[in-house]
Amino acid sequence: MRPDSRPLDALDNAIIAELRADGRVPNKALAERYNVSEATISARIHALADSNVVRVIAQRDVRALGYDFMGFANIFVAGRPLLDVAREIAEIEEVASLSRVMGDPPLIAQVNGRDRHHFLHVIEKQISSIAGITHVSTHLTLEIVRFNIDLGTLESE
Amino acid sequence: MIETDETDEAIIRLLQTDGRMSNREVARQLNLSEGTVRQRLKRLQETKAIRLGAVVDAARIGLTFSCYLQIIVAAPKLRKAAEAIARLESAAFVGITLGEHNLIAMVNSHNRDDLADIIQNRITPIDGVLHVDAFELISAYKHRYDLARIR
Repeated sequence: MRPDSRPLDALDNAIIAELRADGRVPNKALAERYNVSEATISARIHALADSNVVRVIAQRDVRALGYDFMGFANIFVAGRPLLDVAREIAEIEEVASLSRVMGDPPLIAQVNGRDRHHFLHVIEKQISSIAGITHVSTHLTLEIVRFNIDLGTLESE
Repeated sequence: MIETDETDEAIIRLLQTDGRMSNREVARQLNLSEGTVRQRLKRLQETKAIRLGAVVDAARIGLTFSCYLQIIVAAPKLRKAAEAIARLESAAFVGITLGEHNLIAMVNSHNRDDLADIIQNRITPIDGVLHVDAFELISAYKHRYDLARIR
């Protein structure tokens, strides 16, 4: 049984909603609001984090870090197990996310770059040179219209 | 670009492991005053260098089905189509792109039928949408949720 398979109850769901509204809301305030002890709130929040349901963390702004370019890479693979190729791609610092998808390409990566040259370098030199990758097709993001940064995958393979 | 010094970085590192750590605890671990920690965090958040918030695993709140959509939209209708998709509750990401497709979106849903319905009945009929390539997500090999587009 996976550790995250515990079903969520009403209190868990209430805590998730509260943390999404304010990640730093004090345990004391939550305890008063839901008429339970502070220890209960604290234990619940830890359990939710440990089981990869919700985690409150400091997220850094990619642009404050100097990454002004973002794009997607459709990565086509042949002649080598997908997982081996994926592991190598995932190690690249500039790869912000790597998804296995149904279809061809089997992999879609979200890639950050400081500028056009850096972005191109990551695609051409770092990703394309990995054994098993037949070709990479890119989409450069010109404008982000919507980006929900509070949803994600907390448990990666 | 926002300048951060060693102290800012040390505070951020602690809060990257536990974003709910109290200012008092951060101060204690770094041998700073609570006031310093409070001021630094205020500045980092106000300048949007960091966000202290919850990140929720989409699958664990029932959004089990996700799909990358790579879309071709007639150029004059591109912006309106992008905005229409962005208004959908299920859209987690919408971006105008340069490449084989000029629009990329990520949609999440509670079940597969619903996901198909969003793609075929909500997105495909949008004025200007010429072609939709859908790639259903099987799993994530990597997701840097510690990095985000805050500004």
